[in-house]
Amino acid sequence: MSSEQQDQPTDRELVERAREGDQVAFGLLVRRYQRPAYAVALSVVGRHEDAEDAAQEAFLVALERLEECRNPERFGGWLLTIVRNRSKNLIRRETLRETDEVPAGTRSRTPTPDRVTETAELRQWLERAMQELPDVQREIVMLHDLEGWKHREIAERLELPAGTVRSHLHFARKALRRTLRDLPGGRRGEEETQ
Amino acid sequence: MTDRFDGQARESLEVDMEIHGMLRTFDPALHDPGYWTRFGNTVLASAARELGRRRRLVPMTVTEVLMGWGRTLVPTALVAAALAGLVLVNGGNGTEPAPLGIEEMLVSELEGLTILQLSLPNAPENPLALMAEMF
Repeated sequence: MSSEQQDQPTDRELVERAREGDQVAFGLLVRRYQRPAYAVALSVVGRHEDAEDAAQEAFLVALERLEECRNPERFGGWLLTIVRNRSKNLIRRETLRETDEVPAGTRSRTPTPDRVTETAELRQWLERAMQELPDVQREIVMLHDLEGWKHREIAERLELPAGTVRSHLHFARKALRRTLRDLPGGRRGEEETQ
Repeated sequence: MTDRFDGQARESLEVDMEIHGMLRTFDPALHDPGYWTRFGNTVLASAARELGRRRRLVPMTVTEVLMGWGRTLVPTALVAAALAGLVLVNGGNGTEPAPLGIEEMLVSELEGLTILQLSLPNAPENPLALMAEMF
């Protein structure tokens, strides 16, 4: 948990209030985890629209099943498990629907229409690079380097040893840097300043 | 192995800004600053029904039930008392109808003399009239 969150109600408090239908408490949980939930969903489905659907659905499923969250202080990890499962189900459903129409492996490569062409191009490259990573590495690098989660948080919420998290992060970064080197025109880190 | 592990630990302690810059292209808020607010609002709107259901299921203690009744009964009693007070105050100023005796009610619309009048000592001397009234 970041220092900003230390002054705020804990996950346990918010989950207990949300179980009684407290809208403010549930709203705080949504705001706290909407970005990581989306990041995890995107790391599985690879497409913005699907990630958005999976993440939003996961919050609703989590609310309906709040009684099943036996460790409310670990709500984050529990929620991300739901996000991961919803995302995988979404892919399974779409694969069944598209099997005969689209060549395997191309569905998630379609980039989301972006307003900035360069961003879209970089994104396309990144999507390819991300698809090459194992699921767990995609998730870890998104949570750490995009959402700014600490190793300890990732380890707790993904229920992995901290050393394993560090190792996965190391290899994921290495692969992504390799992708950056291969970018046409060498546009390294251009998006950093935006 | 230890060196490699320590190297990874040192390397991964902080967010890699180069990787972060790349991954930010995945953030929907990059070109749409209101995205996360809308995302949260959409989830909350869809969750409203379930939250409402949960609120209704919250078990109430005896004290809460009594307090709940109190919240309804006290204002109702106050309003009733105020209305009664108003009626009483207004009632004191009005002109009261004159009381009507039972005897007067019985004879008020009769024509001719009543038995009572005919049996009085100073009644008109008309035995037929008295007989007609009696039979």
